[in-house]
Amino acid sequence: MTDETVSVIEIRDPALDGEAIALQVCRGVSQRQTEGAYGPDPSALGPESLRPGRVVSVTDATTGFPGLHEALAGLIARGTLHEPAFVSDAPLVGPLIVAVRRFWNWMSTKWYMRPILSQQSDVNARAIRLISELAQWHELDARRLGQLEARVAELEAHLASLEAEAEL
Amino acid sequence: MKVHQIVYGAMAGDAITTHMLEIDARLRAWGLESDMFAHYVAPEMADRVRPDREYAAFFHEPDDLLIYHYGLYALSVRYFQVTQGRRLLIYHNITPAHYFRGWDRKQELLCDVGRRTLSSLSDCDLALGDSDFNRRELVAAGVPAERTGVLPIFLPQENLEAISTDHNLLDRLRGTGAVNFLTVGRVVPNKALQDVIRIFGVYHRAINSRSRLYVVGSRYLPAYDAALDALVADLGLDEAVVFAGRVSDVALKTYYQAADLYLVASHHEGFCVPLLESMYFGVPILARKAAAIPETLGEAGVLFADLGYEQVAEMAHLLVTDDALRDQVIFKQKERLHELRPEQTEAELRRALSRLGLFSSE
Repeated sequence: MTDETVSVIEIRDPALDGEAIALQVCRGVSQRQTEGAYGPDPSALGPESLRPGRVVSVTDATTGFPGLHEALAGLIARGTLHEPAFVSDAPLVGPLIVAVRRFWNWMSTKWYMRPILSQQSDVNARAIRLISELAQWHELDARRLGQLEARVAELEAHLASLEAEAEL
Repeated sequence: MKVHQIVYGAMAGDAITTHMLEIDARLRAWGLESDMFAHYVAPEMADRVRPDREYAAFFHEPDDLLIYHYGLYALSVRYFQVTQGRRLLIYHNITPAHYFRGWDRKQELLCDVGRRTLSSLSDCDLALGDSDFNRRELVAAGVPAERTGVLPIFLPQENLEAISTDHNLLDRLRGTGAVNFLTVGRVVPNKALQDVIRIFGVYHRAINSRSRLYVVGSRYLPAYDAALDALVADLGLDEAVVFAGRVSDVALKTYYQAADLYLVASHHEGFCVPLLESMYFGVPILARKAAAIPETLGEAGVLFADLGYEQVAEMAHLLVTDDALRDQVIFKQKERLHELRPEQTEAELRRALSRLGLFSSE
């Protein structure tokens, strides 16, 4: 049994003999290798983007805009407007103040403020969507710019070497 | 006092929607008033689930409980942040954004914002993950460990039993006499379908050319879809690999019934409901040892820790052909399913609600 097989297959059921099964797997692989049954390495086939070991960056450094995603998250979280709740710490009259303010708020918001809140929330949602789209384009542009800069540096280095050769 | 639940989308057959409906049923059985909201309400749910904007009427009810199902970034997360009653977060996991990098910018940003927003929800009264894997992500996002817990997804087995079989489809799938590999889920990069296809490709070429791989799940990332199609073509598997797309419950049940092996190579899963469905339908599972998959499987199924395409394909062959091995794996899977039965989840839910003071006598 190879160490490779042991590390690839894991059987946790105590009623099964994991080692014996791994040995069977190993024998099967060896036999088919001998027969030449496997053919080309499957990991070498298919588009480059699906090859094992493809490196993807997990940072947002490519944006050149530190904190962009956090700012966007904050904006989205605050996009919908809500009526405030009234509270009062005043002793005795506090509940009365709250009741009056709630009543006045109800009077004023029901017919006038709520439609405005709704309109503004809608505007906010649309603005957030637009900013999200722009942020995506910005990231793509930042990435393309990085590639172009690298290409220019490469060409400049090549040009310098050609000039050096010409001077010789 | 009322209990409200909010999800992003409510639609029949969706795992999170089913989970919400099952919680709703328990709440009502326990004598609690309960209602449900969603940003997107599918027509078949319109009589049970309300548009989430209507939840605004309950912002100022300090005795109410809001259960927020978080598995996708949505503006309704703001409702959870501002509501004045008790707040229970159920975290279904959001895929790390880097899996979408290079494939789909919008999904990448949505996931990125979604995961970053998680930390702003950490002051909730209680946060539950579908799995301990998800619970640990909650802790990493800043939720104090003592305010976290685990509530597995409800899988109501009577619902699966009640679904009929598409006999025409079953005949088509079974009639060829081919060995059928199955994988279920959205066609997205974190599920590493390229590895599923490559493992199957090795099996098909070297072990059994009378075999099919059925990939059941919605395709909505054109770049990733095109790359997978190109891989299938390069491996010469055009006739053997079938992308079935999103299918009805009836068709899904039929695919499980016709399957000889369930193969999953995901790098990131918060729970993986198809594993439970495979257990229920008696399909042996061969799964990558990653994220929450080992936890959901427990001692059941067979894991592969790395690739190894030849070894994994050979293991698949054993699971298909060795009757004693296959029977024991299926038996163990049934045992695991029993451990995750709805009664257990119901007890966990009851305990969680007790922690929030809903059942003061417990």
